[in-house]
Amino acid sequence: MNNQILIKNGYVYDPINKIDGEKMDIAIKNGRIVPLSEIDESKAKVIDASGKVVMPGGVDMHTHIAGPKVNLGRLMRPEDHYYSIVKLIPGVRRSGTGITTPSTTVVGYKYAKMGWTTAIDPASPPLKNRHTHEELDDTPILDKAVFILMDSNWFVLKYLEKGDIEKCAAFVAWLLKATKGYAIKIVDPGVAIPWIRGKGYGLGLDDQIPPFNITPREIVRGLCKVNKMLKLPHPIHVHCNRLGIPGNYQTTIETMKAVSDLADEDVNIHITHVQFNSYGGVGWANLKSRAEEIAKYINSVNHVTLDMGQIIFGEATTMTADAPFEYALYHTTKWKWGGAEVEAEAAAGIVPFTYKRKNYVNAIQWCIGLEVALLVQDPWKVVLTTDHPNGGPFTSYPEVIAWLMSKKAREKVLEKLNKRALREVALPSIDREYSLYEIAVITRAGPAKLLGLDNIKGHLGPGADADVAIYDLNPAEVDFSENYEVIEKAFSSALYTIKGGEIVVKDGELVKYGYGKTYYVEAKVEDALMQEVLGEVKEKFNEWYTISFENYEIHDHELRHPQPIKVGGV
Amino acid sequence: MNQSKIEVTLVTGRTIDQGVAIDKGKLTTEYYEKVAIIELDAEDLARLGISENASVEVSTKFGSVVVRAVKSKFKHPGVAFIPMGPWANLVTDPYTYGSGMPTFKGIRAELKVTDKAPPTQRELIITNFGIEAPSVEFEEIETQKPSGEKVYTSVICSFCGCLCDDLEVKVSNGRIVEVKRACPLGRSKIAHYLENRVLKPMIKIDGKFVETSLENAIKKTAEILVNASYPLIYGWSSTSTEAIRLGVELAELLGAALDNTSVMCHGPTILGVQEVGTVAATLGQIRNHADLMIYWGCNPFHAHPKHPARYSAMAKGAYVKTRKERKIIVIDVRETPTARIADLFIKVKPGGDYELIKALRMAINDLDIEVDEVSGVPTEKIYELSDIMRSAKFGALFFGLGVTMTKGKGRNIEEVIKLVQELNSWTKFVLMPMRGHYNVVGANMATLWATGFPFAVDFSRGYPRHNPGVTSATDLLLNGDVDAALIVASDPVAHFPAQAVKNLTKIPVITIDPKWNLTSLISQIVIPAAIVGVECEGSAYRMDKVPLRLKKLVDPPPGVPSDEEIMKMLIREIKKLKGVSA
Amino acid sequence: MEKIYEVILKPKREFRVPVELEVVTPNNFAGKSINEIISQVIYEGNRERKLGELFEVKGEVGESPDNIRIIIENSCNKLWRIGEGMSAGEIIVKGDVGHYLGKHMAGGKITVHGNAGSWVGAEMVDGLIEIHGNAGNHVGARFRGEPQGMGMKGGKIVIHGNAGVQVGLGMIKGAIIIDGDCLEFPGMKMRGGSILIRGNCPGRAGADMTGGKIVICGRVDSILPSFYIESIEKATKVKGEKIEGPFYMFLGDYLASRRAYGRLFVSIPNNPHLKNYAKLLEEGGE
Repeated sequence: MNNQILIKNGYVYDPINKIDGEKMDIAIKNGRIVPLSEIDESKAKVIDASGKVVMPGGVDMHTHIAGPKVNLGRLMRPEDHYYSIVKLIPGVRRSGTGITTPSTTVVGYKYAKMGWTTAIDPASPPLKNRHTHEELDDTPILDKAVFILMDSNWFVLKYLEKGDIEKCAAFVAWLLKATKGYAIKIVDPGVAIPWIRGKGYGLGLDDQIPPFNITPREIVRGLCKVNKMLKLPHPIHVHCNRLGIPGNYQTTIETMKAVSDLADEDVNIHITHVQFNSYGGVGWANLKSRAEEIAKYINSVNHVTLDMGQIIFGEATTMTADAPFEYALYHTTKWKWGGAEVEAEAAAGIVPFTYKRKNYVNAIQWCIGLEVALLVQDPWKVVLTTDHPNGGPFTSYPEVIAWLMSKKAREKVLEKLNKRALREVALPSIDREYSLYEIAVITRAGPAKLLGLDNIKGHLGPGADADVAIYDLNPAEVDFSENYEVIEKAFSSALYTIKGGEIVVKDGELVKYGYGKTYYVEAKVEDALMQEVLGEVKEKFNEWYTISFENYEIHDHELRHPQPIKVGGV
Repeated sequence: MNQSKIEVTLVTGRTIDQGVAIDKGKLTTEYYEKVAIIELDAEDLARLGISENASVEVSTKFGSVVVRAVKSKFKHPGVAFIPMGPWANLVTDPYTYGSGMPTFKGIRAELKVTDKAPPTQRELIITNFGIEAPSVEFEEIETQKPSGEKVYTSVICSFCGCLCDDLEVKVSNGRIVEVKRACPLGRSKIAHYLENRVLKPMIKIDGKFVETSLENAIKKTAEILVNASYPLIYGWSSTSTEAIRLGVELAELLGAALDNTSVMCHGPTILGVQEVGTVAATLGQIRNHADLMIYWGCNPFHAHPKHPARYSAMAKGAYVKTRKERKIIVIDVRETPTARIADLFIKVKPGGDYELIKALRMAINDLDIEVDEVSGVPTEKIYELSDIMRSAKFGALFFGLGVTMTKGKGRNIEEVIKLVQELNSWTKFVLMPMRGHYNVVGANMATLWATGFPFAVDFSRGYPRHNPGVTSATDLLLNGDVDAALIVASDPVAHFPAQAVKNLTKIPVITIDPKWNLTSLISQIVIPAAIVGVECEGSAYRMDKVPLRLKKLVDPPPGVPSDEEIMKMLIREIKKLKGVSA
Repeated sequence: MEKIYEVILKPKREFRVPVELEVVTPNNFAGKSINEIISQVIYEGNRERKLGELFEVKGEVGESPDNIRIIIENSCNKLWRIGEGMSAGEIIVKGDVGHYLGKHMAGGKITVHGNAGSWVGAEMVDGLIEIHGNAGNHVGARFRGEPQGMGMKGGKIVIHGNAGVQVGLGMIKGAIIIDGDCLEFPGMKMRGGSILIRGNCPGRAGADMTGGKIVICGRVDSILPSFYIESIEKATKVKGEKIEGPFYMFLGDYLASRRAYGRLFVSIPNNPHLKNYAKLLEEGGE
């Protein structure tokens, strides 16, 4: 089998190695990028990438593609699966269905088709995380990981309310290992607790969360300290309080400020799908964009990163661990609502939703996502997402890229939007257009760095995993700002997607089947501390949970290709 | 006064004795004695002028069967109960009314005294399906390795959807010798794991089973399935998620119809979720917080015996610690053992659950109910119930096949879900379907995530399609639409209505199962499998979708593969036959 | 009068598994030669076949679907999806037919001289379907999980025999006429259109309806508690046909909408067990 590939003459965009459209060759051997000298051109498969763009494979660090609430979304939406068909190609591609709630077989295929090779499910409850892993292991091609919900975890809250950061850190380290998780996920911190009584909508950063003696601010700060103590590769990943509520931008800024003193030179908080948390105004009728204020803060500091959460007009399926918000949304759609709760850990909601151009609120939401991305100056602080499937399906990324790269593309959409909304937003007057280099940052290099995987992901230097995408884009000949349809077309259908040194997509079609790795984090904790904490956990476990402690842990051999990432720890 | 004939409403379902007997063996006398029966209220026995153990001929629009009368310990005049099984299925309503679920409950039946004896399992198959059911020999299975004793703790039971994981199993010289803390169903499964086992692959030649090699069995199975124009792959709820995931791949490769037993249990629940969503919570959330628990159309003391003590009425929760702190309501068509623990028992007319839920929703939404009673429940009681529900701090509604299998099917559950969704305007309320087999949820989950649909999936056009009532195994068999069948970890000959079974007996059938059961008797090929949770590891999903990893306690009998291994072999063989690169 | 082009399909053998015939529509046949029609791809279970392998095809085809009449002889209930999505022309089925007859139909006419399976005229937009025998479940229904906008939007379905459950599920406009009996839930989730049941119905009529009209001339075992008796009507009409009463007229489903515009007409003479509703009317009240 030929394990050498030589990609010749392409325009390479590799921001981690500061390569900005240089014409160069990329060499692959045994699944890795290698120096050119290490391959034998006569024996290699040569891909002529002249006049084409070469980038590292895409990295999506926030996409709801697997796990209990995602599957409940599929269950609730058979209509999403009746006509959206992917046919079986025996030995090459599994069949599947779904657009906003795609089957796992379709997820892997459609990401690979766009040149993406790594995807992270950002919110899974520990008790059910085995489910998330089983789904990810039925998702072809991609390398993957899972973020673990922790903000409403009774053990975490018990330790944090006492201010016991060390013990909390030991618990978190154990939790990540036991669930084979990758990072700390925080969703409307603490909200699953009042939700036990059906309350919690609009929970503020400094509200109390009985019966725990703690506030969301303290949860965020506590977990931020834990994260730092354990030297976890990814910062705390935060869905801020008051998501979706007009006026919430202040909470978002307060949340970012809440941990600013805890940062050294590093990024210590990632604000996810910031669009949904950048609202001004008092009610829906006068919703305003506060993207400028959010961007202003982020521009002034170095400890925050964000991902967009861009909405796409059309059907979406909202699904988050922000149960009260979803319940409230259900009252506006009056159609389907899926609620789910996990003992001592988390709660979620699923509500189908349609974003409409003529709807004032949706029009503003569409503008906000782009405004934030365009107003934050440093692309390394921005990650492209639609919070799939909350804002829209991930298959819309090519469109989002086009909007970022071309003002003309944005204008085409703006002319169809609710007119009153246009008077309230800054987007029409923003001229900035992302370059291909910057797109490579926000879809590959940046997220890889944020995940702490930038040694092997998101770049094309020697040593990197050979995850490469080749796009039909010629930066020397095409003005992308004018001809944005070219961008959309190119990113919708990669000429080549190479995963781990194997060509998996050619001309937008799957040519090889296989399963990627599952990354998880093992943070080192001093034995005595761990034993003490586990002793305390076991004491309470039977009181809170309905399974035995022994059966909580997920073992390596349950996953197809587990890949532990060992970090410093405490 | 005696009547030679009486009319009753017939209900069929799980009993503890039936559940225990399954694992002793479907071909045993015990199974015959516990399942070929009809439970009658003392009044109805008197009306017929018979005493216990007399034979009764039961006739419905759909067929007739002779069973043995048993006096019920509870009062339910006019309602008779036959345990689920091949006898019940000679008289149940096979039509699914567009839901995929036959009508196993609420059927009008006529009972007549007779002096015939109930047919044995084999007689039943021969008489009703016109085919020979070969007799099967069972051997003692020797185990010696590894030597010594080991006690396994936190063992996860693999019988019902409770997936209780507090069992303790002692293994001595490679054999299970003691099971602690299991309910009778779980204990029977684990303690009798070596009984009625299929030990070698079998192939039917001239009406008799002949031993064959695993390779040959796989080869012949693959040939049958590949040659079929529309094979059915059915079962799945009593095996590991790993095997199920491969089963989906297998069905896709074959262009087959793929279905699992949820079509006959909580498929209707799924139909409700598809229309309106759901309000779910894990069992611990309910145990910890619920001060009101409603059991509707379910009888956990027979079908989920440890449920009340572990998860519900009597369980110790983090905040609600005792039975006294909870209010328990039972709603059913007849008084069941579960009704005995209720603070309030509401008897609903068989088939009338839908109207009752509508009326409850009227009351909860403060709308007047114009009539005096709904489905046998006085309107005053309905208002009372609605107030109890609205004033709970955290309510939980457990529901079972009493609501899914009766007239209305999926629309019944849609109403249950809407009721709970509306209650959330007042207080916290969740619902929990009482799932039957230990991994039927896993079958739904894995089929759903890989295809977009949870059951009744059709791959004949090269991609998943789903329409219960058309693509469901029950309807496909009832209409004679499939021309071969692979049955994995299930026994449709025992549990499908007779008319569907008849069509199953007309096509080539392959059964993969640890034990001999009625479906294996009519099969062309029988392949043995290891018991998940006893002889091999595997993942399974509890009724609240919590996934657990079942343990391996002992080795399977020599040469017996796991379902996962069998699936891999089958897929390889089928790819070979179809010229597909691996 | 314009010429009608007839194409006659006759099965060459018995069918064991379902045969999917969504290519059998006047729209699809129009402008094709008989040879092209014979080469149309159809599915027998999971096997790809050519139409001509399974059917004898005779006749001639015109350019316009309006003038095409397809006749299927010796039909059986294994033939599915006939007439799917057609918008013009005519199909005559001699014998029984399987599921999905006329699914998504947008015009034209289908007549079946036999029984039909389930989902007759599912999500129909326009056209006329006439079944001389019985039909299965979900006549004129929308598929599960679909939003309200997907129900039957127009056209007319006539079942001369009996029908199954959930006739007209999610109906928006159009008419469904059942000469015989139906099973439960006729008019479920309806928001417009008319359903006439000349025979009996066990109950749950109009469940979740928010508009439209259901008329039941036979016996109804019970009325849902979410419907209120509104008046007694001497007669009513469905699609231009006067239906003699007298009828109880109920409004509902109040659980689906407080402004219940759904109207359920139930025969008075055939439902003596419902006489309490007359009493309720006498007593007045809320």
